[in-house]
Amino acid sequence: MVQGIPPDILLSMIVGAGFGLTALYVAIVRRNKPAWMDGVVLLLACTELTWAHVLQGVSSDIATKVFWFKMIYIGYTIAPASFFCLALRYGGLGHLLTLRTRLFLSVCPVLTNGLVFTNEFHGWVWDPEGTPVIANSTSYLPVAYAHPWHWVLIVYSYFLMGLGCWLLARSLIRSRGIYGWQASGIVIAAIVALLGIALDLFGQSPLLPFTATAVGLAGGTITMVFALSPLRRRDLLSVTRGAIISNISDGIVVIDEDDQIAEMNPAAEKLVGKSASQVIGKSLKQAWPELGSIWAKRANKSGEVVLCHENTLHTFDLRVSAIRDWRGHIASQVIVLRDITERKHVEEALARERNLLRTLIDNLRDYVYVKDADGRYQVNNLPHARLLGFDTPEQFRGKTVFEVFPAHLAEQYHADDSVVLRTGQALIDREEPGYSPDSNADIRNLTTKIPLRDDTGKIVGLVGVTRDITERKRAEKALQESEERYRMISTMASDYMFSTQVDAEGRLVLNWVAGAFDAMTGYTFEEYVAHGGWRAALHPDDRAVDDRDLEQLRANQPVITEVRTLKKSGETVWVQVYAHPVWDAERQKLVGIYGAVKDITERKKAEEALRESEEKLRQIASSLREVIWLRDVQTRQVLYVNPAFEELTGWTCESFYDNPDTVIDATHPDDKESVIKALDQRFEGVPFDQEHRIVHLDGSVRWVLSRSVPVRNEAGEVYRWASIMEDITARKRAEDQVRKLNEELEQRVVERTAQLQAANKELEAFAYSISHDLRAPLRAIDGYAHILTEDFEALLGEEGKRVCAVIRGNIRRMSQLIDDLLAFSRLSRAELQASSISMETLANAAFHESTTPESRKRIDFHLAPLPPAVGDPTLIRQVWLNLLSNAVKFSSKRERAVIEVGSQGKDGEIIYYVRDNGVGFEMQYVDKLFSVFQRLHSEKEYDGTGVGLAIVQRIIQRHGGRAWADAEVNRGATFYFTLPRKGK
Amino acid sequence: MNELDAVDILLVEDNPQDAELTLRALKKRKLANQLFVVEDGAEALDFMFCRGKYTQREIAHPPKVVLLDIKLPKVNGLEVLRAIKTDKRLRTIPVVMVTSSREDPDIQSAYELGANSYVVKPVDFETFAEAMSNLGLYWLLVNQAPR
Repeated sequence: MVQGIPPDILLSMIVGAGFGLTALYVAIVRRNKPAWMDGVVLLLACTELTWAHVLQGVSSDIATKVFWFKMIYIGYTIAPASFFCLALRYGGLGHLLTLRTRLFLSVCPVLTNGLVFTNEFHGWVWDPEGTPVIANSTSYLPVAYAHPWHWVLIVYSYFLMGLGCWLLARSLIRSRGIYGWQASGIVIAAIVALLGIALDLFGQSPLLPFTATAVGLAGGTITMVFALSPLRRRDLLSVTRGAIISNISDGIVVIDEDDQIAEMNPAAEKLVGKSASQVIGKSLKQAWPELGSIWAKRANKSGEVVLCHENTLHTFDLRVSAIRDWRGHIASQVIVLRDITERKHVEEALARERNLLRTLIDNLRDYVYVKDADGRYQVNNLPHARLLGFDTPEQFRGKTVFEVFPAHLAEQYHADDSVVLRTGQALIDREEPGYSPDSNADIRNLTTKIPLRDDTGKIVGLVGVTRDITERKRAEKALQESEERYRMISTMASDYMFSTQVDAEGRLVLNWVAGAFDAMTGYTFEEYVAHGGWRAALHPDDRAVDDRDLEQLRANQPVITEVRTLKKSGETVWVQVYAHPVWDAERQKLVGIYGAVKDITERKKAEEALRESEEKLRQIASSLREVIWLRDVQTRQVLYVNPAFEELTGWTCESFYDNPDTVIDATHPDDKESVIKALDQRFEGVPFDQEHRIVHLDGSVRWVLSRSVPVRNEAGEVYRWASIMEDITARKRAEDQVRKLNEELEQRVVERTAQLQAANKELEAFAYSISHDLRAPLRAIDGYAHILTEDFEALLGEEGKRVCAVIRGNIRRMSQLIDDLLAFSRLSRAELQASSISMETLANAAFHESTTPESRKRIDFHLAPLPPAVGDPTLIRQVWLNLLSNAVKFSSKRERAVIEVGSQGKDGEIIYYVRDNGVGFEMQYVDKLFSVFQRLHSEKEYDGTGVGLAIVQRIIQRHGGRAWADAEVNRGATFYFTLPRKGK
Repeated sequence: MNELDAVDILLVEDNPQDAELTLRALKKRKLANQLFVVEDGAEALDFMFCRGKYTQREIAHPPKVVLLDIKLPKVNGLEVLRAIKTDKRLRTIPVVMVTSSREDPDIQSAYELGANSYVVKPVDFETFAEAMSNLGLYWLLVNQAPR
């Protein structure tokens, strides 16, 4: 196939391939650098157009050839544009390569290609008839067939390429050295390519059969390759070296084997102060004495030297390199002098800083350490090392916490470290237990750990600072306790302390207070000061006192004073102030006051109350007419006597205080002994209560009532006598009178009683007489009447017997009358002997006494339970007897007599009653019932003297009760009586 | 032994009617045989103590019972009672106070002085007679006299 290909086609193929591969290479290698993309595009465009040209040449038919001819235009239009872009970038105008620029540049290529592919229709690019020409040609369109647009394209291409070349040339001029060569390489390449194309255009190709274009492009490419190839570098090296040596800041001196200067760079020129041309060929010693002398002295040439440069001493690092020839002998030596002054300074500063830092951290009391990312100790300060038993921090290095601390502590520390290292969060002020060689000690630490990062932000370790706060904690606790105590004291105390300062204007300003300030003043400290301080809180009436106190303080005298202050609530508080001046001896003035304020309101109130109380007592004591005094038991001294003493005794109170025996001396001589004896008896517990006489100073005698009571102390012992003396002279007089009267009365009473008794006695005798003397004749009459009937029965006859019977009957009656009268009269005289009486028993006995067994047979006697009463048993018995005998008597005519005895409780009193079913009586005569000798029935019907009920009523009345009756004729009668509960 | 020593009942009574009635009552019971009457207290004492008019009497032969009234001339019954009851020789002799006084003080005093019995003379003759005869019966027949 190669044989059939024309040589220029072949060349084009090779060139094209070259373009393509290079493009690929650059694209791959410099894929990170977008600036190279224009170059890549250029190469691709060249590849395209070259290969299109190739394909045009190898294709056989016209249509294909024409097609490939058209295709050439693609690369043909793109290449200039991309070259231009490359030139812009290379020429430092890369910023112009905006999208707009690119779009603008692509207008022509797009249009051109559009027109090219539609050339058949309009023929603006080339003559459509000229196709055979094209078909035959292996190169470009002959000029003859070119139509207007073709020339547009030519202009466009050359313009861009020309402009590009100019830009590159400009940069070539500007940049020197290495890059200049690169730029010139590219320019030459472009020119060569353009030249080739131009030649072809005008058909003046000298290189037939090769087309100039291809040759031009090839040449250009090669040139560019050269420009950009690494081969150039080798040449650049010497350039580079030269550039390096010229530009380096180190001084370089090349000396030959004779120590003569062969070469010197500009930096060295500066150091020595001479130009290279001046020194080359001269000996080192000659040209550079300073260096030369050092050079000569030193055996080991390399090292530090100190040279004077620009009037200051600089330190240089001297390096020597030997250049050997092909035999290995030293041909020349290269001395390099580097100014390390800066570095030295920096090093020294660094060393100083390091030292400083070390000293600092080693002298801290805190433990400072640095751990790496694995938690191993890298740096430690001395205290930390010592704590753990190491001599130096270095011994510590590389250990983990587990190797150094006890397990429980290490666990904690390690946990914290892990968090810091992992999260990158600093651990600030962690309280943790600490280590101590003494296992009993309870150490508390405060630790801060901060992560260390490198430049990339990665955590490479941590810095830790640990402070032993055990003491602090203890102090804090003690402080807390102390504060607590203080607070307790404050709440309980009733005082506060204060400190005042004298300010620049001489005013007193409250500095601080401690204690129960708030409670005492009602203000907080701030409120108090804002309110106006001490002066404002002071009671207006005490201002004068305060002024005086202040004067004293200003004279450097302490003050103790009692004043009133006003609380916030308006309450007045008495306070005792102790104020001490703070004295500036130099300037002889008051600079402050400190003191204590104590609430004495209570005390003042108590004092006031006491005063008032004393006043009251004094007033009372003074107003008394009775004399009172208080005497001490032990000393007999009189503690107090009231003014009435003077009135009563004529002696002054003073004299009594002076002479405690005044009152004894004043006692009447006749009474003195008994008084003294009675006084002594006080000690035996007998109270002294005497009436006696005293002799007034003026000689008059007064009767007094003296009393003395013991006063006991808390132990119960008698320690004082309290005595009262009352003037009872008037009373005594009155008493005497009363006594006399009483005596008279007594006398009279006695006489009267005697009279009464006599009268009573007479009466008794009279009654006795009657009972005895009256009865005897009666007995005789009765007896003799009986004799008559008995002995002289025959003589009397019936009538005679009847008469005797009458006589005897009357005798009996008279006897009864006498008995009743006697009983009645006795009642009035008799004394009641009250006792508890069983009424039931009495009633029962009375019933039995009033009846015979015979009569009882026909009597239904109902005796209800009777409550007991209080009265004279004899008399009450009489009552029952009378009532029951009456009941029996007046019901005797009944076949069956019913007698009831019972009691009723009514209105709180007990009513006893006797009821019979006898003959009864008419209620209209009820008033007469209880009168003496009054009868409601005749003697013929019922006998009786009519005294019985009168007796009953008299007895009941004497007991304080009542008696009454109730009856109905022929139905019966009920007699009631009451007895009071308690005896009369 | 003269008849004065054989007296069973000494009646000390100043009222002759009462004396007569008493005698009559006792006669009925056939107890009147050894009844002696004195009219006042002094005579009663003379009799009992065997002095005055009655020195012939022997004190060792006292009456079996003395019926003593209280209201007596010269020396009253209580005095006589005391005299008898305080004398060693005579105090064992039963003395019955027979009187119309129902007065408590009298009764009390009589018993205190040592009277053996106290009887109130009823007015009614029948009762009186019965009381007297009972007395006599009791003290002479029923009662065991001391030696």
